[in-house]
Amino acid sequence: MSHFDDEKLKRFLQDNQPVAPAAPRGELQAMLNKLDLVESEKPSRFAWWAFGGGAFATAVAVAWFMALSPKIITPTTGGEEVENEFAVGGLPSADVGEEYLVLASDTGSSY
Amino acid sequence: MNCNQSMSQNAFGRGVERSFGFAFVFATGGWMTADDFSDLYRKHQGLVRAVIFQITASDAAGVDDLVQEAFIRIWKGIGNFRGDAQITSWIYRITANVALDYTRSAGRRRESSHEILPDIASPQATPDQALSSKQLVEKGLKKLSEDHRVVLVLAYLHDLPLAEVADVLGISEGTVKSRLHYAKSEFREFLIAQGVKL
Repeated sequence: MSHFDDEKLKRFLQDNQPVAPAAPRGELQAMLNKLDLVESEKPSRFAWWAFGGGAFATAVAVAWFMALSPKIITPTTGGEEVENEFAVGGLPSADVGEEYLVLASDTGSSY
Repeated sequence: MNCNQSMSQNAFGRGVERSFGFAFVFATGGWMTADDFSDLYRKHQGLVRAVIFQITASDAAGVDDLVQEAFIRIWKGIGNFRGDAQITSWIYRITANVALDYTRSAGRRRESSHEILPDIASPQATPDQALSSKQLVEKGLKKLSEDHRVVLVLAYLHDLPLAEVADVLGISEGTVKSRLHYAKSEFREFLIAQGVKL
């Protein structure tokens, strides 16, 4: 078996390497068209921004609601008494019933 | 064959939209304009075509399809390209994978159905039937297994360092050396059988 010098073998291969056929005319444009088709099947850039913006706005809204909701649902303390609004002339204001309210709001009556 | 690093910055312009680009092409994690893609194609299509042709030993139509497949994979993978890596290594890797996927999925063996050269193993064929040196190389490459052929193509035809071949193929450098050794031995035996003396 004869000895093959590696460098000679490499040079032989490089000098005689198979040459690929030339690119067909319009190959680049065909690729761009294909990529454009693939691109059109993806969500558009606007859709990505709209989705991201919507998600962000929702997160902000939720955070805002969570921050304010305790103030909305927690009763205030310190003596505000609703019944005082109805305490006219020293009349008892507690639990007077539906009938009283109806009568008091009926300005056209003789009472 | 190797390309300088600055090319990658110009070719991709990641995150930068060129005002004159007529179409924006979105790739995962990065933007590449049609102009960028065209630049990339013009600079590397010869390399991609050669590697695919030499690894697959395919016909012209097959090469065209595979070249297109390689560039689509390049476009899709642009977001995963590490800027610190050589762009040519990255292109070599994608191209070699496309070619190997093709040869493996098609179950292509050394004697493929696209054989266009005379069958040297046939009784009528003799070394004197004057295969040109180019035909000899083409024939010899087809004789090799895919794993051996791709190593020989990258290391000898494209003169890549063994470490880069290992990186491109995702195997160890020791494996590259081993496969290259066997590839050279097979190719040498083939040349001897053809009466070639180097």
